[in-house]
Amino acid sequence: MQHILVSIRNERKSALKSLVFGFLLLSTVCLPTQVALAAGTAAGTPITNQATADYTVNSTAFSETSNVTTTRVAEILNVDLVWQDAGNVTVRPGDMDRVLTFQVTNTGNGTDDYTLAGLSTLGGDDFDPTLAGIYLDSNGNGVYDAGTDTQYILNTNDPVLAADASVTVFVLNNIPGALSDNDLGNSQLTATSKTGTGAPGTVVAGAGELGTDAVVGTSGASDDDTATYIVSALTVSVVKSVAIADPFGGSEPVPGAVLTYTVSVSVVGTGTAEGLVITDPIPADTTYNAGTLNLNTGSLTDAADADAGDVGGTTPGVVTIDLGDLTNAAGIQTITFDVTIN
Amino acid sequence: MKKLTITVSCLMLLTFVTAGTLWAQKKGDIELKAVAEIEIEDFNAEGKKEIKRVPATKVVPGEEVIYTIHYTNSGQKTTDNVVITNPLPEHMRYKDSSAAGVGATIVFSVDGGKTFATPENLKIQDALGREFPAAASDYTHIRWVLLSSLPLNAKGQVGFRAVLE
Repeated sequence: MQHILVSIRNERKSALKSLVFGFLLLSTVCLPTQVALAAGTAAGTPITNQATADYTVNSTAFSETSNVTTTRVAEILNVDLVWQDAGNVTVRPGDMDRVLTFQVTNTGNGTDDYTLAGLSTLGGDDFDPTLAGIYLDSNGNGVYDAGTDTQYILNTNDPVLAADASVTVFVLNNIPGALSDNDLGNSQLTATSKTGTGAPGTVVAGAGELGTDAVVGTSGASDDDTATYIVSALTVSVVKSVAIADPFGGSEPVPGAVLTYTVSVSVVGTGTAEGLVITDPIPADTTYNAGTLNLNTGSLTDAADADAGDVGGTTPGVVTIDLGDLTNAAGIQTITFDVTIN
Repeated sequence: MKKLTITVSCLMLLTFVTAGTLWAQKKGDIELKAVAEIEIEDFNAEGKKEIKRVPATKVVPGEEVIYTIHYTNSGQKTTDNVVITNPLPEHMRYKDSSAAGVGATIVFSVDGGKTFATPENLKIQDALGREFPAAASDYTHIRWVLLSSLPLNAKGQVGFRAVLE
């Protein structure tokens, strides 16, 4: 609008001059500043055009302006939904309320509101999580805070987003039991514009900001993303066997026979068994043969000291071995010790 | 001379100015009529697809608007040294090579209308003061300098296209 100033040069007293100056005064006071958004000029912005002719008649200079054309910027409806977690979310069978984090962004050029829908019964995965609830990040900290972040209820608290604004949404699922290690389960969230959806270019007349038309953008005014849980079903395998050596060179379990116990421990599945401690009571009617405690290829002292095991030190009458944090990659841990039948 | 009433409301003023049928100014020797249109695909009477122009009342970002200025010498005398200037509307980006006007030299400004030149002579400066050739997106004004005087009742049109950002 201010451009009109540049072209007015004549000094004629006319309705034109008072109108134009009046217009200029109003234009500097009333025109809102319009913002350039990621999706383009804000919906409702008026685009005005006016041309000026400057000419001479018998060497006297004159200037005339054209009418002003006004075009209003219509509203584009677009939304982008992106799963936020860095990778598949690790869960254990039977876990409850496991959180998936999504971000919904209004990628249009006007304020819009959106319905949300969660779906966990998708095909193409190993198990179906059970949808426990959808929550809005009410305190905007990007983290699910139980009791603080409000539950999303369709048509009750549908998020309203200005152009370029986002909201973080949490989807909570329960994990079934009886799952295998590395099983994958998918959960999908969809956001849909309440103003209109459909093929890009579909017009919803008058539904845009400031009464302009709303036009469905390239996203179809709806977007979804699918998140994945991965199961860590770690188990610890403990297998015990015994070899018998009697005093006569045979293998009869008679008094005086030496029983060599072998306890084989390993981790099955992905993950870490943390602070794994194996305890094995010395059987009744037998006596532990001092100094026979072994872990893999090294012998351990019977006393409770810096090494991994003891007999009767931590607990009287019990072999205690501390295997620390054990993973499947460490392989089988073999513990052996001898007792003699009383 | 038509008496015009100025109202305080912005909205009412805009509505008034775009009414079209009422001229907003005293009629001088040259009359200018500005038109804004968009092209749409439509089906004609035979069911074939055709392109037609409709008024650009509502436009989405990315859409192209066709601006046309019709000029007429409706005065009493021949007008000389006729120059038509159109500032690029805010939020509109000039479409390269789209300016047209029979019988006119077309020049552009990149400095808010202070100076005008043909495209190859337009330069802009960056923050360090280095000069670069200006691009269509840098243009602030378009100007048509008519090559000859306009006798009585002579008329013509000039135009250009711009894309809404």
